[in-house]
Amino acid sequence: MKGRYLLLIWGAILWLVVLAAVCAPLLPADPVRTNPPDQFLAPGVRYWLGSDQFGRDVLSRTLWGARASLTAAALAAAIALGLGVLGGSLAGTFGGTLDWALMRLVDVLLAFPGLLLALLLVALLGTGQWQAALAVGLSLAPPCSRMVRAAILTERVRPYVEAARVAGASWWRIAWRHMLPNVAGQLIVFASVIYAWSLLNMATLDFLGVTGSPSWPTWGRMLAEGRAYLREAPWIAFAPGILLTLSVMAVMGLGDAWRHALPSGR
Amino acid sequence: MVRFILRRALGVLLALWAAVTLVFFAMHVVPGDPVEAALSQSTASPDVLARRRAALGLDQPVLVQYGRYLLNLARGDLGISWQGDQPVAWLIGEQLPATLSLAAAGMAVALLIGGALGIGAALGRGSIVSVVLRSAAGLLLSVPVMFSGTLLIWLFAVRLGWLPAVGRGSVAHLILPACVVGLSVAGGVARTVDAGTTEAMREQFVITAWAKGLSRWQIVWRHALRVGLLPTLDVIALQFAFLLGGTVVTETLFARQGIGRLLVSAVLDKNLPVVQGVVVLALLAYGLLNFCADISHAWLDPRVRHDMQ
Repeated sequence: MKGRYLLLIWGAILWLVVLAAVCAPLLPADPVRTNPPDQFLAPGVRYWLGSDQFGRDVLSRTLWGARASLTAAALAAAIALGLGVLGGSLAGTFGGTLDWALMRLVDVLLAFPGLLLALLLVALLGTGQWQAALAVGLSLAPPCSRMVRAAILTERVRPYVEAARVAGASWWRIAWRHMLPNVAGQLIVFASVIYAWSLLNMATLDFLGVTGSPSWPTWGRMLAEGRAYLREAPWIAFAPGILLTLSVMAVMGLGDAWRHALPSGR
Repeated sequence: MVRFILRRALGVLLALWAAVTLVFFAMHVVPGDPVEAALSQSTASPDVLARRRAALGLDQPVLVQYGRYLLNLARGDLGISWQGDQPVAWLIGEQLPATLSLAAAGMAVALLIGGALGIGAALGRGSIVSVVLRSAAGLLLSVPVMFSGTLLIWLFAVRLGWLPAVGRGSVAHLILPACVVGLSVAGGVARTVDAGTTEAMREQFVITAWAKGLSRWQIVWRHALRVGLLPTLDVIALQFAFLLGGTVVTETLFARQGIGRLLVSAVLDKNLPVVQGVVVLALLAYGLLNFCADISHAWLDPRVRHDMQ
């Protein structure tokens, strides 16, 4: 019962953040156009969340930043999940040499500590928003395929798989039509974890300045600007920082609550 | 024991070799070579370009370059930076002390805060204390380093003026960065310590200790924690990955010298030998840490030692 409330609360928070991102174009202030006379204005009636070093509206930049950050992380998570589900289910279903080869590759990639793989990929792919999303997605694919493989392996020994086998179904069909739908509940939990990591890693790359075009707002870039002008205008960093933290907590909380709601959940 | 150590060492070496090989060939798949990148703007003649390629060994077949790279690596030679022509090993060595002191101090903070949160949450099970401490650990897991760091700098350097926000040298310069790195890892440490201690408190030997009439204090410190903290060893090795990410961000936050800054600027300049060098060093450190965690685990826990034989 408690889990249901948590699901509702985290869902509502995430829904509000997404709604705010969708509504960004409704704000009158331009997120990019500079307005030098209004530099570093404290939060007030004209600028609800203050203005930054170029006199741009922080509220409007935060909400436009939400769009950029949420979609880039979604792209990264989609890449990680796509590769992870493909690799993990292939390895788990067919086993044998394919499983061995894929998992050794995953082992090697997991030897790269965290953010390092993403940074290495950025160095290879070049700096830019899409390259960074691709890099984050590729760097999260190995742990994702591990999780999917483990889930598939526990399904593989279930009686319904044997029944499908006896009925003459191919392994392809069993994987896609029988096992994947059965692990869909767990996949949603994985997806939430991967999305939370994507949000954090994308924001980190943005913060480090390796994602190109600095004028367009993202939460990570705004945090970097906020750090640079912390003495003059600390409010630049507050709104994007709080929204990023809230989004990560909401996504993780949703996954957690969902896991508890699963029949096999603890 | 010796056989166990040798087998683990061989495993780590193999993993390292595979990872280094992967990095090497990934770097060679990328189109365009350094000579072109560095000299494309200049009006150097093809002759000069060819001589420069030969000097860097880039005119050789890839497999020859790979063999030479592995040989140099074994000798501790990480190649030459594409900018400034300095040896990569020297560039890294110059930045290493700053990063090592930051990482070590950060780990100490993480173990202190994470350990306190985790033990407190496990012992206060079922009370409001545990709920609060677990929420704090959850918050620490979700807050991005660059935000918690910005908040700490704002509070302690800008508002209160107690600690410096930039520069290095004295202990005071290390406190704030170490806290930022430590907090980024503390959440993960707290979760593991919590789980380990909670499990240990349910073990038979703890029930026996209760039955013997030992005090709560003795049970927790003499019996439960000894077993409950064992998983923390693995965590130190695992959290190193996060520690590294936290260090990269923290060095940028505080405009500190270090490996992280070297890596970020190398990524921006597409200075691949330096990126490669830092990555190889991190792989080595990560592999070594995991190796040490395995060995010490086997050494400390008689059950693991028993399983090996």
